[in-house]
Amino acid sequence: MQGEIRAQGSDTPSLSIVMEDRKTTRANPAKAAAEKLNFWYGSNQALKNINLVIPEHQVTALIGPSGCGKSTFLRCFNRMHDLQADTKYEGAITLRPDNVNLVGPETDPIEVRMRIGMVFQKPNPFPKSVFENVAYGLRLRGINNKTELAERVEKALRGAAIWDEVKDRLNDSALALSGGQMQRVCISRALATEPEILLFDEPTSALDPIATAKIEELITELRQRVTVLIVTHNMQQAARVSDFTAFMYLGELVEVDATSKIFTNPAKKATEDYITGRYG
Amino acid sequence: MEAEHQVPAAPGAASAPRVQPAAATHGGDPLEGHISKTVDQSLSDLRIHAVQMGGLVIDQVGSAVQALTERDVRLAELVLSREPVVNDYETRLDRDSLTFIALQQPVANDLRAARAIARVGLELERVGDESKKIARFAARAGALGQNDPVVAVARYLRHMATLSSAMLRGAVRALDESDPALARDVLAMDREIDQEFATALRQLMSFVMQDHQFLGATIDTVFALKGLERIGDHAKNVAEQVLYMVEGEAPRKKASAGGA
Amino acid sequence: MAATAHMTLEEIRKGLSWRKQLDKLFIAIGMALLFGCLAILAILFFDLVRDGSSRFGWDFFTSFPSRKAENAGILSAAVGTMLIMVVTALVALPVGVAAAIYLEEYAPKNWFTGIIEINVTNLAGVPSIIYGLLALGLFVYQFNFGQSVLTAGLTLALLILPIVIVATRESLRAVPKAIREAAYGLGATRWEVTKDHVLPYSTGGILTGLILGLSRAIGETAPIITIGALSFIAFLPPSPVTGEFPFLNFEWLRSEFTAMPIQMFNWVSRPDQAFQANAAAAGAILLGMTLAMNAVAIWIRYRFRKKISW
Repeated sequence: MQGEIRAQGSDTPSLSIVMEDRKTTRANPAKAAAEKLNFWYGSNQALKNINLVIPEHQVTALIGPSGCGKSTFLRCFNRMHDLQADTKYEGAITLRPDNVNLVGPETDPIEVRMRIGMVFQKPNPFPKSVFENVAYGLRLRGINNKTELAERVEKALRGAAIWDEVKDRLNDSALALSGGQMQRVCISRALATEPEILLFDEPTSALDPIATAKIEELITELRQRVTVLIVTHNMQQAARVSDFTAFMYLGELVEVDATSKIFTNPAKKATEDYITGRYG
Repeated sequence: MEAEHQVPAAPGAASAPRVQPAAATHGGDPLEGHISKTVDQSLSDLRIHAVQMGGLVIDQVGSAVQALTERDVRLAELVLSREPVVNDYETRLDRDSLTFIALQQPVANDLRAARAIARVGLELERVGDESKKIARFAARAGALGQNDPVVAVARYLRHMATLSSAMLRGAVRALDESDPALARDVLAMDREIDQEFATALRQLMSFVMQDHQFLGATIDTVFALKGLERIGDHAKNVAEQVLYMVEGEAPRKKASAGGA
Repeated sequence: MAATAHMTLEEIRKGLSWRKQLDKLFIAIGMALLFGCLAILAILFFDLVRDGSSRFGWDFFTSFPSRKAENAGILSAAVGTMLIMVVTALVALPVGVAAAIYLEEYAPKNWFTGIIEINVTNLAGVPSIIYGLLALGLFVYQFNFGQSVLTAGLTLALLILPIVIVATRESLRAVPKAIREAAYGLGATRWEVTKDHVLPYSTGGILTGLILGLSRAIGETAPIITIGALSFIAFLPPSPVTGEFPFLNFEWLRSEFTAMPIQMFNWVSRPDQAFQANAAAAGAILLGMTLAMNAVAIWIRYRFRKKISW
């Protein structure tokens, strides 16, 4: 089984193939493309020759069993691995249209993080007021004008569909909110700086079903403003929110296709076995 | 479900549905091997019921045509009495597949299987309806004289019954064994039954031109022939569902699929 | 297996009551030990208060030492102690926090920083008189700070530095990784993450560590004697605040001094019984100061914990 998947992983679809395969979803130009991406934790290779195109203004979901490298791959996009010692990138993630290699040694990780936002697994608001949470990214960018801050914070909170719930408690601690509200504040915080790509790392794994539904609805709406890449353990969630689904296994990209295709008739047996629960 | 036991041992795979399909064309059965044994069990139950239903329906077709051509009113009544059982099967398949989808939220081939089996149930139920109509005619036709339209086309009726039964049997077996090759064979047989139907109609036309006495019975006979032709179409639809289930893509429908 | 594991209700109840007895026994032992310790502390404190009761009064706080026990007071000692504590806090806090931030947030994890870390922890166990000897050689003779408030403050700062560093590192470490990642994810630099998030969120722990360090320093006698504190001082250091520009005066740093423990030590070693009452009263006050500082530390910790819960 493993050998079979490895063999398939090496000829994963390149840009052109993905574009042709997209029968049911309208074709958008690429926002980013991973090209021959390899990644190591020390001597342990976590990503093997990943080639994947992220279409602009669409939601791409990464699925796969625990340890398959999907979160590792996601975190390459904003260089989160740089916070850890002894990690190594090889290959490229090219951001369009200016063709900056996000994982290139010449690229400043802070510059990358200013362009690409991230929402984490557990809601992680700062223990500050709701307003200061959302404003922090703007302050980092040197925006300190009160009117401008207020405007952009409101816009971001509206964008994350939480303005009505928090508009009267902007100065209360964000930690006083419910889990789902906290997560939407975190999404606002990431949206406030108008990132080009928004990364979601299992954003609803700590939330109840209603809060999850709200976040999922939000993600499907967000695609109009931002390109979304989401890692999820919940396959139904991938099916509900994404336009494209990529299945990863043992650090390799096994298959990527329109979500409607993956969940009705995947091309690779490994994908089908995983999504139908046949991994033993 | 006592009625299940009444089903005479129909020939072919349908009579003994679960006798080691794994020995057939494929290495492993595509509906099995889940981590969750409940999923395996649910899918297996769905398929067993569909195959059992298939066995019953094949027998209904054969018995109805036999009742008609051999003037056996009692056999016709047996067919009519078993019709509710066929309907029960269909209701149950529909309900069980819906429950399976709701509770297990299948995707990919599991989802295709659940949907395909529900639709196979629907097709087989319609085959049951056609058999019922033929059996009703047979019950009435018992009073007819010797030189009637049924006698005129009896040969075609029997042949079409054999053909449609064979198609049904093939389709049900393809479902039982998840065998796309068997399903394709069934699709190929449809042409033959259509040709047979056209020939029978011509035969009947020349019959009715000679003798106007049996105009009513002739119309009924046309319906019986048409019913058998429809059964062939339903068998073809079952085979298409099997192909969809196994391969993920339905074969392209021909314009003639709706019948002549 | 199921058959052997099955227990009747009787057996379950019997076994359970024995185990519950054990539970109660442990609670009883724990309570006894706890109250025993508290009782000893209370007896000590009340004994001091009783012995020194004759001396409590405004005069005791406003008088300089005297040859007559009934005229003697702790004015110079109390002021000296407070000034030393100010110097100690002002030195230990920035140095300790900076060292902790470097070790926790910036230093690469290798053998060199490993050795530094182990040594910082070990420093907390060095006998305080060693610090006194070090200070005598370094601050008094080498840097020529004299036997002054400054020298005493620096010495005690050195003494509590490991405590501050360890406490600060603990509270820096308590800031969850998720919070740091959130800030980095928005494009913050390492310094911005430290300044805007890690430090503010660990203030409670840092201040607690500082105060606990100070409450240890306040009672230290040996290093202060070593550097040559006087035990008989009948004057106050120059006031830090003046009426003229620039309103601040740092002369007090160079002033000679005495401190509470020294004063006590001096009185205890006198043959005159009347001075014993003075020593007891001063001891009660010193103990009171320590407890008050610990109370403040607990209050700070409680307040911050209420504001920030991960």
